[in-house]
Amino acid sequence: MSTPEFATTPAKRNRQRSLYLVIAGVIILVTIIAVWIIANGRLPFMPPRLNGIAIQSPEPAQNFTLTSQTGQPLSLTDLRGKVVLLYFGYTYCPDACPTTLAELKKATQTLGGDAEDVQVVMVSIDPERDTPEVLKTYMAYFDPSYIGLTGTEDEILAAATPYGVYFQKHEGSPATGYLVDHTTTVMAIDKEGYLRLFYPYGTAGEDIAADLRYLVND
Amino acid sequence: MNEGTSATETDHATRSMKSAGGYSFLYALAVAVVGAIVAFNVIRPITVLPRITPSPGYAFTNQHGQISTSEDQRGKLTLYSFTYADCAANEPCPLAVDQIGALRHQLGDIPSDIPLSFVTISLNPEIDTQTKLAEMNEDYSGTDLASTIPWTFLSGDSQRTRLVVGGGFQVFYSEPKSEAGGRVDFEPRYVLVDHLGIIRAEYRTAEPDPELITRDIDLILNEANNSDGIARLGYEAAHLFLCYPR
Repeated sequence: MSTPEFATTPAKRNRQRSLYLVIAGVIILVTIIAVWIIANGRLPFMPPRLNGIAIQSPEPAQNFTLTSQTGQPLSLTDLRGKVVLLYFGYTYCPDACPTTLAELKKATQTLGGDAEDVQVVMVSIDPERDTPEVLKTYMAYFDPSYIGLTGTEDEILAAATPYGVYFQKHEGSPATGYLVDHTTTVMAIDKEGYLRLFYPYGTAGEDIAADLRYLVND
Repeated sequence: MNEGTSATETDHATRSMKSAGGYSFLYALAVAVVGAIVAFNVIRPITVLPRITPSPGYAFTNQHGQISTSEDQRGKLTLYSFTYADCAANEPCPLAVDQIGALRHQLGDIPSDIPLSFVTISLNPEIDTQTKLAEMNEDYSGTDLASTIPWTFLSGDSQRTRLVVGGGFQVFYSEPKSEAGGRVDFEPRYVLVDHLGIIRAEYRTAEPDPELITRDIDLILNEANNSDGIARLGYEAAHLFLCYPR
């Protein structure tokens, strides 16, 4: 008597089951990778395509406590849980500051719902003129959720120096009053408080938004 | 019967091979992924210098009495050093101006189109006035320490110096000791900052190897010149996998 072909032994059935499991596993793996690529725009194990300059082994961002536009003290650590875009500027700034803040506004608008996890903070490097009230009005012009901070010159100097930011007052025209030269870099601090990315002046809001999406979901 | 058994065994063998092939594919995939990561780390097709931290911002006075800022160094590679004018007159002097000048001379082989500059920040700003800075800026031309690499000497007030040198560059230094002729104790340190204002290397010695500095400068330049478009992914992968020079 010959063994019918369709008759299977338990061992054979196990092998078949194993093969199906392998095939199912490969299909699941391929599907997961495809979903990952669609969601993240890159292969797993590949570094994210960040537009900012990344600090690969980031350190905790230097903390500081300054006075917010509401008149209350605010520390950088109070913003843990949000991605912070940190900028040093001033409200009388004729060019770089409004241009940069406009790009940051573009970035947060592009993010949609993810923008709730992002906080834009501008530290004034002109404490003489930028009172909390002035900052409140100025920041609201871009977005009422943006935070403006001020303090004494010494406090601001101590806050700015570790971020590579300098500022220096110099004479302007009668129309502008004095001007303040300053570094125009924007820093991105992740939700855990680590300094992750730098954006040179002129980085487009869309490019910043793409990085923020990664940081928000990281 | 024998023929039937033989056919079944062949069928089993074929299916087993297919099953084994499925496993092999998965193993090969896993090995390829792990192998690629290990190979990248071992072979290091791209080596980069770490991006350590932002170089501190400052606005100090230079040897010409002008304001010189950290922004003035943007777009250049800068080798920062720290000492004070009377260091050589005090014992011990961890890093004298002449030693910095000797290193600058040794790096003289670097092509002139590479925008490398030296910046030395005074650790005794109350004493190192512009006149003192100008004296430090000795004219080495015609001597065996001649070099075309630009060299700036800076001095600020004590508070800002502490913020920049102590806080930003994290260089230990003491207050001037009046009982010891104004001696300042400090650790010798050179800091290499890239064109974007980020600290990329630190040399904790008074006499760093010029070849090491030249290699580090080359690494920064390679990254700056070649990491556009798809190549940037390779450089970012090198940062991700910590492919730093050994």
